[in-house]
Amino acid sequence: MTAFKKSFETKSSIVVNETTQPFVIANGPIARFVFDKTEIDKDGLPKRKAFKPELYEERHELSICGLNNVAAERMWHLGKTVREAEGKSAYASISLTTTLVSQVGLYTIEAPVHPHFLEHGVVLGWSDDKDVRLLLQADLAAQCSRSDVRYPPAVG
Amino acid sequence: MSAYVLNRNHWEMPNSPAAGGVAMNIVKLLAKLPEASVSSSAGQSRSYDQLQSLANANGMTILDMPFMLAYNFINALPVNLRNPEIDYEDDGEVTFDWVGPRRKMMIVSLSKTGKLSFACRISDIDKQHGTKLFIDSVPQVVLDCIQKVI
Repeated sequence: MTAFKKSFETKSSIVVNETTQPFVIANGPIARFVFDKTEIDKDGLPKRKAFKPELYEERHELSICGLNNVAAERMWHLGKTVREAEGKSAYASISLTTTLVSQVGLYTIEAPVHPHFLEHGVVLGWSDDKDVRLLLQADLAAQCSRSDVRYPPAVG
Repeated sequence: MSAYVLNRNHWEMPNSPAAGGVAMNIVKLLAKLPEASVSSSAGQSRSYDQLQSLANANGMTILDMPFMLAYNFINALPVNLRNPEIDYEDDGEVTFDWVGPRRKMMIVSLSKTGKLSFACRISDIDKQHGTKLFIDSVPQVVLDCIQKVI
């Protein structure tokens, strides 16, 4: 199991989206949480390693947060809590769309692996060949601008 | 044996005779290196230091694979080349990232077996990727990609 999935130990009782609408939709917004500030370069742009997929049950996947009908407050709450068990809090989030993911040859599905993180999804379609995966990561990073990188609101 | 045996200009040679197969191979490799390739720039020195830190942070030394190959890779790069960002990934490979203007990117990943995977992104329509065997010289296609990116 990926470190990310293992750490879904949020204790929040906040559940924002109680509708039947999915969180990951076609041409919908998604976010990739960044937990390591070295994944953002000095110009505020995401590096390719911000999109490094993890091997999980013999397939590579990249965790994302579906944002359809999800308030920013909820997103940052998740960013703060999903890896709390590892002592990690999101340094930033990178805004993407499922369309952009499709444009580089990948696809996104919902993966609500934990009741406290129903918005969880994964980007799939990664090759088993590392050179291809590296290029896909570079493609995703190249699609992002500085304005796609958002930072959590200041506390207090 | 000291870990600092690889580059006679950058690190000290051990005082005691090298022991073990790996050490003997390194000594043989060093003996084959011409003086010009042994000299290193300040940038390369920083890369060697970074590599050593990464190895230590992951419970290894510079003599362990793939760090030794990564050391050879840095040593085989032209001295005047801009420093890559070096990282150690979960799959046990050492990666080298160059980023140029307009989001041009070149990534090299070295496995412990010497498999070199690379991906070069110049633009949406100008991309290249592939694999090569790395022993002690950087494949020309990889050098060309790095030059196009930086």
